[in-house]
Amino acid sequence: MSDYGIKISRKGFDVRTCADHELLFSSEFPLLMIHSSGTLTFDANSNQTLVTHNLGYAPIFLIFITAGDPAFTDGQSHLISPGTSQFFRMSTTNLIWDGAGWGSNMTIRYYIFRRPIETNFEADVFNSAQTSENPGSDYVFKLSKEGKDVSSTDMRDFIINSDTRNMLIHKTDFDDRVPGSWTIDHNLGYEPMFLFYCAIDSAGDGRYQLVATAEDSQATATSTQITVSTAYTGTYGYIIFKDPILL
Amino acid sequence: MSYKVIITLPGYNAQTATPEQCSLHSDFPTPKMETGKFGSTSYTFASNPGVSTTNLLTINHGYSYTPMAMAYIKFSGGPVVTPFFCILPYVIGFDVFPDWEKKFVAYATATQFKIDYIVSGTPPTDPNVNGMTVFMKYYIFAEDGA
Repeated sequence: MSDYGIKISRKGFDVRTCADHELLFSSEFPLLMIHSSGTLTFDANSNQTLVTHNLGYAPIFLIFITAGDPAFTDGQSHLISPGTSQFFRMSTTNLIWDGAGWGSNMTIRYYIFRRPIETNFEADVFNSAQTSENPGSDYVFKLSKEGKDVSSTDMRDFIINSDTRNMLIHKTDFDDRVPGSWTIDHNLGYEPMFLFYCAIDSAGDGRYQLVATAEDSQATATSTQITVSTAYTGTYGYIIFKDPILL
Repeated sequence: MSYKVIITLPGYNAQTATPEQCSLHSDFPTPKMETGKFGSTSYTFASNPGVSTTNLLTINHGYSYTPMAMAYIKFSGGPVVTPFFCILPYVIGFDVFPDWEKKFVAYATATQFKIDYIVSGTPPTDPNVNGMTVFMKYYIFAEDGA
């Protein structure tokens, strides 16, 4: 059993007293790490593999559509919607487009994260009480990407930077569900950021899609629970972050 | 010269741990939000919009590119039965697929981040959002959104 650890607070917060979500990172809970990202333009009239990740598990992912979604104007980068999320589906090896006959080309920015959707994890809540930020602090902790200068002012050049908030993972799990609603306790004491994924049984292939918000499926957050409702039988996986929705 | 910074979760050896067993791994960046690029606001409808786009929030994000962005919203005083925070886009009802006639959307362009309520097609009268307040929380990341 190990009893050591390391934590670094975000700039302006006292690491000894700050809330978990005011940390840059802690060895007690993982960061959401980007495995790969890129842009693609593809003929959405045909089913196809968009990205091969070969992680061996279905990972957490995000898709932002920038062109080809008739619900938006081209150039408006938006998270996939109830109208599109069902067609972007993640397997243990590939991100797949499954919306043959869409009618146009589509352009996306994808993010695949180094985190299985099917993971059971829950961090302790060490401190959830928000503290005051000291704007006069002048320290910083930075790790730049390989080949990038640590003095860069472009935050995309960094693995991590204490001038920024990051996505700290609090809880992840998955379960088989039938149509209806259920709750998930998180015990954070505030409404946290979260994402939900579903592998719908009727699709028959175990591939996950992001659950967007609509009347047939949605997830909402309170200070103690996430409530999920759905009209579909399937396996549901979620990721709840330390980061509060409101701050 | 190749180097790494690896910090594992409790109980794992940094020399053998997979990235999934780490708290921090210098091969894998994390999405980052700078101060001033996230916040909250609210909007109360003074009438029920017809077929139109109602802008609820516009932020000049200051990046020289289209960033990755997300938003959560909740409602009070109206017909939309979501009193707790949910992620955008939010489609109201089961309208015409695929362009959905009534929806709350969040998106980023090369200069701005916006949250809109869009009514397209007919009928625009159901639901009536007059008097409804929308609470919005937005996150504009430093990472590319396009």
